[in-house]
Amino acid sequence: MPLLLVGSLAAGLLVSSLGFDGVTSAEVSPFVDYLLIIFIFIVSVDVGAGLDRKTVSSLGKDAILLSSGTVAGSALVGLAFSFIPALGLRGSMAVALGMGWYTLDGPLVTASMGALAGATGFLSNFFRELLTFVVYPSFRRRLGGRNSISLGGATTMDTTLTVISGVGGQEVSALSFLHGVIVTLMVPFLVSLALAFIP
Amino acid sequence: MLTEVLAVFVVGVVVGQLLRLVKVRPRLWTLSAAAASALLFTMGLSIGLERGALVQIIPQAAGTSLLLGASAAVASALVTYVLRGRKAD
Repeated sequence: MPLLLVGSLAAGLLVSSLGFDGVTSAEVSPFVDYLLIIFIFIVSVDVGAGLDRKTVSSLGKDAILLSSGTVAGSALVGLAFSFIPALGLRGSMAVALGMGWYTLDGPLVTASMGALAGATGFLSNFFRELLTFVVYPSFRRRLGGRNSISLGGATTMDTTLTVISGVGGQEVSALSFLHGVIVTLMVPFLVSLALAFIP
Repeated sequence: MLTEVLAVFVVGVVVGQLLRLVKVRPRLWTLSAAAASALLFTMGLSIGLERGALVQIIPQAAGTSLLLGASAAVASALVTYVLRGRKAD
């Protein structure tokens, strides 16, 4: 899946270099908005259909604590990177609060702040997902399987769930899924709030 | 745009819950992957059509992105570790 998505972005970049006389980025941008709306709808239906009361009540408290840690850690890094001129506080918070959801964060930040900030949003959250695949096993040994779920942010309900469940076992898998659902529910709100209210 | 995104997200979650109530479990993985691919292809096209973007933007963004993404992941795990009473379970 990550390879397919990065391949799609690379294909778009490649096709743009083939030469489109008279076609500008501004003419293509509305299509990004339409596709983003379609994508958000599909993902949110999937999230809504996957939420059941039993899972939520049994692991709920721990998942909420884990999600709070994920949001707080990401927000702290957003604050710490606000010195980067191309991003500022608004951009760095919007990028960090993407919490691994690069297919949402990249287009959202592009629409509000332009291509450079959008590319940073995409790449930063993509690197976060890749890093989780690589370092989850070693973090699990040092910080514990549950705490280390926070590494993956929103991706712990789908892509990185594979490595977390493989290394951590069934109970950690359920917690990982619920954490991913909670963080996924929060990302659109937090990124939108950062872009709308931070000057 | 941001308002539309939030509204669609909320509507989607409600639709998902309604589908669950009527015991329909949609298999949306393929559709979601196709939509994400189309979205990223168009985003790549949009970035690439900006003059010099291919040469300038990606290298400029890569270093910052790697540092920001890695820091956010590690900080999240550390803050969670502290919030949960430094228990490595």
